[in-house]
This record gives sequence, C-alpha cells and structure tokens, in this order.
Amino acid sequence: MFDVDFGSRARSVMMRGVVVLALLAIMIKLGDMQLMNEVVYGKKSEQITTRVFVQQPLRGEIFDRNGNVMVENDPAYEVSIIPHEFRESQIPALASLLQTDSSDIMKRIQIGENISPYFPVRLKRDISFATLSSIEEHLKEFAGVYFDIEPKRVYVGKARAAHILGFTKEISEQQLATLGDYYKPGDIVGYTGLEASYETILRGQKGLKYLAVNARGQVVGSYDDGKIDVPAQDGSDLYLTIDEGLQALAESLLVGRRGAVVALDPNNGEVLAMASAPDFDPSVFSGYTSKTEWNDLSNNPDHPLFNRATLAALPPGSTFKMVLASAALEGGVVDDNWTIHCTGSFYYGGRIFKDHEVHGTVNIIQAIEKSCNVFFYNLILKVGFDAWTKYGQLFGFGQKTGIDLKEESPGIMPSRDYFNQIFGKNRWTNGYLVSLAIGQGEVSATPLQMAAYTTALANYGKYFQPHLVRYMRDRKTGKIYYTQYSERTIPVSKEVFDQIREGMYLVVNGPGGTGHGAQIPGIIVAGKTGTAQNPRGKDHAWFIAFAPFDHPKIALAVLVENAGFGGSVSAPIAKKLIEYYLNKQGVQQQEEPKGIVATAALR
Amino acid sequence: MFDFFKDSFDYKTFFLAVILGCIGALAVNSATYNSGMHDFFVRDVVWQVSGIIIAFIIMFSSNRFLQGGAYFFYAITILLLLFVLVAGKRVASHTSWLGLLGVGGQPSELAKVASILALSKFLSEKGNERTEWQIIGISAGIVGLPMILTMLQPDLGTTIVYLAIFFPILFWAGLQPIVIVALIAPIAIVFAEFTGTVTLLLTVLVFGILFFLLSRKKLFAVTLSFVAVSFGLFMEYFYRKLLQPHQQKRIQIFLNPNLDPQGAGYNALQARVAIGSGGLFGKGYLHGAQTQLRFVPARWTDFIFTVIGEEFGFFGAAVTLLAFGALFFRGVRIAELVKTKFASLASIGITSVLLFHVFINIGMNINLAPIVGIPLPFISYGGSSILSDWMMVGILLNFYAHRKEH
Repeated sequence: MFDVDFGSRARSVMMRGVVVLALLAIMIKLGDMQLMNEVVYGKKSEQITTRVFVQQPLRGEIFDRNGNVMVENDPAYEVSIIPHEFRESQIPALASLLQTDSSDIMKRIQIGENISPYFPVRLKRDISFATLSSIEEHLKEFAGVYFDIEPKRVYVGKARAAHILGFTKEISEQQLATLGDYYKPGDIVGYTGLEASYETILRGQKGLKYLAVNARGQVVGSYDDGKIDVPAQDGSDLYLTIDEGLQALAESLLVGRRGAVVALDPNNGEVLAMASAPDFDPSVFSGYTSKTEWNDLSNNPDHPLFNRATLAALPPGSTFKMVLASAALEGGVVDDNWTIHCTGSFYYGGRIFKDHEVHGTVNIIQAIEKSCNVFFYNLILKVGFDAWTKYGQLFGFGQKTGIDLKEESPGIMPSRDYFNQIFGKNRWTNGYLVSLAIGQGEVSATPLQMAAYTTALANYGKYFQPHLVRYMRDRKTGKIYYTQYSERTIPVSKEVFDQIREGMYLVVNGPGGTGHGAQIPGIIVAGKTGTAQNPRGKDHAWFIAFAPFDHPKIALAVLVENAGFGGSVSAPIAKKLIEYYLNKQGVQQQEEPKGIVATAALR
Repeated sequence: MFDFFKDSFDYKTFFLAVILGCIGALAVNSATYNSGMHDFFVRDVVWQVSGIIIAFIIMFSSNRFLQGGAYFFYAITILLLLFVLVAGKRVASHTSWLGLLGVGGQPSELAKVASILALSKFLSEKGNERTEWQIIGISAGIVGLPMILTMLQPDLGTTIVYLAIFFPILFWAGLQPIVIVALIAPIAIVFAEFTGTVTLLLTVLVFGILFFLLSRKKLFAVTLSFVAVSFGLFMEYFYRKLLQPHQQKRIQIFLNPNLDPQGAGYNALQARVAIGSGGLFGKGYLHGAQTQLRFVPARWTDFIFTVIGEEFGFFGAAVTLLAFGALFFRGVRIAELVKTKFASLASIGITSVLLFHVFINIGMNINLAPIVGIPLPFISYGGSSILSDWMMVGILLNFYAHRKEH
C-alpha cells in the first residue's frame, strides 16, 4: 500500500495542486458573488439594513368658486407594523388594544409581507387618543409597532356636496391590483366624486425617508445622510365652480325627498350647484370607517351613495319636447303657422294615446307652453325617427357630458339601430315613436344632461362641457393651472331658438303655462315642466329652467322622484334657486323680454 | 544571532503570518467597533504578540525538541481532553456547560498540533517491523483518539479537522492514492447519503471510476466498488428506516443549514449578503452596513471573513487569500527542504490543517461548505486558535532553521 516515493516531486505537485484548487474555488465563488452579483446582494443589504418610511403628502384642499374652504385636512394617528420585526404571537393582544379582530390584522400583515417584510403595513388609522396612549404604554412589548400622524379629511363647508366631493377610503385589494405601483396596502385613495377623478392631482407624491436600523430593528440614524431621501410633495388644491351657498340651498330644498338638482352657468358650463338626495356625510369615510357604518350606507334602499344628478337616467317627459320642436322647425317640416286641434287624445296603430287635457287648436309655441301631447304625437310622425334622433344627439343625449366625475351615465337616445337591436329588425312600429315624442318610453336622460340641454336652449345652441373644477393651485408655488373644456355649437338657427324660447317663456309666464310655480317677481324665468311615467310608482317630476330670459346666468334641471306632476313640486325648487343666485349676482331685471313681443298677438 | 537571521530565519513564512495576523486584528476591530466591545481588539493584539513570542521560542528550540517530545505533548493533550470531558459532564446545567466550552476549546486546538507531531513521529520511525495494515491502523488510532474525544464534547467542526491531518500526512508518507480514495469513500458516502439519493449514487459512481483508474488489479477495484456500494446501501437503509424523522432533519440541517432559515440559515444568508454587497473594493473600513449594524452573527469569530469581504471587497478578500496561498506553498516547500522525514511529514500536516481551516471557514461564509464552526487561522478572534496557529508557524520556522540537519 505504501510506495517508496515519500515526499516525491509528483506528490508535492499534487499537494500544491490541492492548495491551488481550494483557493481557486473560493476565488471563483467570491468573484461570482462580489463582481457578478454585487447589485443583487447590495440591494438585499440595503433592504436589510434600512427601513423605508413613507412621508405622506398633504392631500390637496377643495374650495368653492368664492374661495370658501369645503374640504381640508386634520391630523389623525395611525398604527403600523413592520412585518419583519413583528412577532405573530402578539397579534391577539394588539387586536384587543386596537379593537379589531386578529384575522384582519393577520390578513394585512400577509398582504404587506408579500410586498416587502421591511416595509411598514398600516393596521388601523384614526385611532383614538385613548388607544394611542394604551399602545404607547405597551410599546416595549410590541416589537415592530410604529405610530405615525396621518392627515384625514374634514368637511368644513356650509354645503355637504357629498356626491361632488366624493370620499376617500383605504384602498381595496382590487384597486391595488389595477391602480399601479404607487399605492401600497393601507393607502388612502379617492373612491368617488372629485376625490376619485382628481386623485392624482389631489394626492400629491409620497416621500420616502430612509433610516438605518441595526439587527434588533432599532433606528440608529438616517441612512446615507438622507441623500437618497425623497421629500413628499403635497397635492394641489381644487377651486370649484360650485357656489357653496347655492349648493347648500339646493341640498336643503331636497331634504326628505329623492331627487337631484343641477345648476349650470349657461355662459361656460360651470356647475354652480349639483345636489343629489338623499345624501350622506362624507366624514364617515375619513379616518376609520366601521363595517356597520359602511353597510348601513351601501345597503340603504334609498341609495344615498348614488349620485342621482349624474347617474339617474330617467325618461325626461315633456321637458324633452324641445328636441322634437327644434328638429321640426330647423328641418322646415313645420312652422309656427302649422296647428293641430287637440281633442285630448290621439289614435294611432290601434292604440289611444291620452293627453292630460283638451288643448284645442295649438301651434308649436303654444304646444310647448301648454305641454300639449297630441301636438307632438302628430309632429314626430311628420318629422320622423331619424331627424328626432339626430337632434337629440346634437343636444347631448345618449352620451356622457364629459363632466369631471367618474360617475356618469350616458342615458339612452333611441335610434333606428337601437330599436332594431333591442326589439329586433321590423319587430317594432312607428307607434313606438309616439311615446318618444313626449319623452316617455325608451328615452332616458340624467339631470346633468337635462341641465346641459337647458344651457344650450338658453344661449342659442352653445353646448359646453359641464365641469366642476375651475382651476388647480399648486400649494408650494401658488401656480394656477386651468383645464380646457370643450364647447360646440348646435346647428340650429336663432329664429328656431327664438320660437322655442318663447314657448319656454310662456310655460312660466303665459296664461296656459304649466310652470307658473317658477315665476319670480322682477326676473323673467323660462322653463319647461316634465313628468316621467314611472311603472313602479308615482311619476317623477322634472323641471328645467333658465333665467334671466335675455341674458341667462343660470340654467338648471330639477328632478324629484315620485313627486307626481313636474310643475307643482320641481318648479318651486327651481324658482328658489334662481332667486337666490340672481339676487346674489345683483340681477334686477324689470323690462319685458324683447323676443316675446311678436307672440302677444297670438295670445 | 545575526548569523541566524541571515541564514536560518524563514522571513517568508514569518511575514506572511504577520500580514495575516494584522488583517485579523483589523477585522476584529471592525467587527466589534460598533458593538461596544473595544477590548476585543486589544486582546486580539495581545494574543497575536503572545503567539509571535511562542513561535520564536519554538523556533529557537533544538532540532530534537519537537520530535523527541511529540508523544509526550500528545499524551498531555489527550489527558487535557479527558479532563474537559469529565469536568464538563460533572456540570449538568446548560449555562455552566457553555461556560466550560471556552476552556474546552483550548485542549482541542492544542491536540491538533500534538496529533500532527505524534503521527509524523510514528510514521518517520525507522526499522519498524510492522505490516502496512498495522501502520495504517496505528496511525488511525493516533488521530482517532483525540478525534473521538473532541466529538464527545461535542465539537463537530474540530472533529472533521483531524481528517485533514490523517490523509495528507499518510499521503505524503507514500500511501498509494487508491488507498486514500478507498478510505475517503465511505466518509464521503455518509455525507452524500444525507444530501439525497441522487447525490449518493453520483458519489458512488465517481468513486467507482476512481478505483478503476487508480488500481492496477481490476479485481481489487471491483471489490472496493462493491464494498462502497454496499456501504452506501446500508447507510441508506440506516437513515431511512432506523432514524426518526426529527433525527433525519437534525442531520440534514447540520449538513445544510440553509434548510433552517431561522437559525444557521439566517446567519449564512446574512454572511452572503454582507460579502456579496462588498463588490470590488468594498464599502470601506468600518463602513460595512451588514457587519457594523450587527446583522452578521459571530462576525468576529466564525464569520469574520464577512468583515473583510464587505469592507474591503473582492480586492481585500483576494489579498487575504493570496497571503494564505503563499503561506501554504511555503509549507510544502519546507516539507521538501527539510532533511528529516519527521519535519517533512509535520510540515505537510500543518499546511493541510491550515488549508482545511481556511477552506471550510471561508466556504461556510460563501455557501461552499456546511456551517460547522471552525475559525479562520490568524484572523478569527479567539486566544486558543490564534496561539495554536502561531505555534504551527513556530514549528515551521524551527524546521526551516534546522533544515540542513539530519
């Protein structure tokens, strides 16, 4: 077994070979780690030795058109933990202190841990001072538990404007998946209203502060002298088009009802007021929202979270008659000499269509004034489906207005294609058109669309994109940013508008008008009543109006659900709003309107 | 005296060891700097200086001192190991046992050096009538006795070190490579066994091929392979059927600490991150985030290489490794230069023990070796290991000084 070559040359070469191989193996492995994978290990090292603390920016505040604060921020305490340092055995104790269940905490930790075990996970926000101090007492036992001050929304305005402002709430798992990398679990995000549609403007940019920690998780100072820290950038403020006083009045007029009001400035499409009832208190959602509070709101049969002003698409009733009137007049199908003798009912296709009363002989202006259905039944058969659809679309129906809210319904503007689609080709007759003529049946519109339509009627065909935000203001620089909103002109002549406006004048002021409830001494109001048939209950009451007649400063649409006839309930609401707003503007109009003189003879 | 330093002093070995000692002192200082343990650096320097003095005393001793006293030193260290075991056993409670471990470490470090000398002396004795089997058996006994006593402490890391004494010295003494391979085979198979069946089969295959390549008699090779395979199958049976699952797991974690992310696996990860993040030139002295912020455990002993790797980067690690490499080459060179078989065998033993320490220690820092807890020569903090390292340097210096004497 032993050879005689003790300490031979061959054996010493082998010995040296082993030395070289062993050290070479180490060198290769070191090269792989330190030269090829330095970045990977460096990142890991940074992650282990630093803790990133998010600096929450202040969310932008919201002001009304006169600079009154509507939403601002208040400090609130929040509790968060760093999963890496936290021991799961402490969950029950922490849960009882925070008055939540262990499973909720466990779930939050798990979600956060998947992102990074070194990144703080928010457990509960807006804790009471009592909770804060009891946790602070036990802070030594709770490793990895931290406090932070986080701003929460407070609503200080005279008006609630709940559906306009919307609310903020902790981000959901679903939103986390869709909204992108900026958000982390536990972040506050705008859920509805302007809080949602201007989320990126309002929220600002989170900052990051890096702190060096030792193996026991104790912070030993700033990391790299704060060189890589990112300061938080506060969100920008929003200055709304809303007139807080008008908004508050609109809300008070709708108390106890279900309905909506939208008031626009007909000169630019600014939303002066937009109320939906019933509403809710948005402060319920700032800070911590309990499950019961949330369930109460979301399961309420009156749907207080639902913004009726932009989402409730209902048949507009007689308020829609001006669409057909413009189609007829502009298309030259009839003029104001064309009359119909109203006997109180209309027979078509084997069916009897009733009118609410016998109007006798009426021309188009009187038909608007008296809201004569029989006239318009006859008229739509003369004008035809396609022309009616075309003018409806020109007035913005069947499409979103493009208001700066995410919650908006386009409503339905029926067309030949639409009917073919829902009823089947040749499965519907012209009889279906008869209801459409008076804004019943398949056609539907939101209060916002109605208000925008009223605006176009008021200002001879200018259709403005309605909007809630006048401008945004950078909190740091004070710089102001405007947004461009679209506007277009509806191709209907001044003469046609004069005739339609005259009809609307007579609705409020004429002897046979249906909207006398909107009369204001000294101010000339024009409008149109509407009653939407409701197969499930009492009819919905519509009223659209604008004033002053010659130089309109406000145009609005009022909807009160299940209130019956539009003139009796909705018109007085419109009257009070117009009165308030124009008085505030200092409008005192005494003269008779110029455009009306011609029709005096006809009366 | 002047003549001695002109002709008989091995500057290369001495200064390479001094360089490594300085790197060690610097690393210990950094590892303990931010942990409120400033006296560690002072004590490290004291031990390094004491080690140098001991090395000089050994260097200046006579050429018969080491060879003549080899069995005596061996006997003393065996008695010390026994004493530690008895004293350690008398104390039942866990903390006291830990307290005694510091004392216990000392004889086992000394026993390594004594075993090298004793084995070298035995193999260099002339006119011995023993058969080859007897020589191997007695050699195994010389190394096996302190090995078993160390295993009982239990200090598994140091136990394995004895293998790095046994095989290289026997190899240098002329043992045929096939015998070495045949002896290593069962040990390797046991280790492979616990890593998995595939690894086991591969290991058996590799050894089978080695047997055929190295053996002149094919029948002998077939027999060896058969024995190796049987041994492997027996271990397989032993492991799967006779051991409880928790025992299996304990062995698996010992061999692969990454399986236990809370314990040793965590340490290994922290060490890798520290070294890997060092890059080419490191984060600068006293600026290693991982080590300074105390993430790396035992960073002044078992994981001291993380300080070098993180703060001085690949460059610093390479300088350290080159110093070690040069020292090992010097050890082999001295084995060639000396005239006595004893000195030659002992030089190889010293070189291979140091190499084994370096490979396993750095290896466990960079995931090349299991975490068995043996120190990095000259660099890890710890009196007993630093002193025994310098003792071995002293022995090499002594051999060099007397290299021309028979």
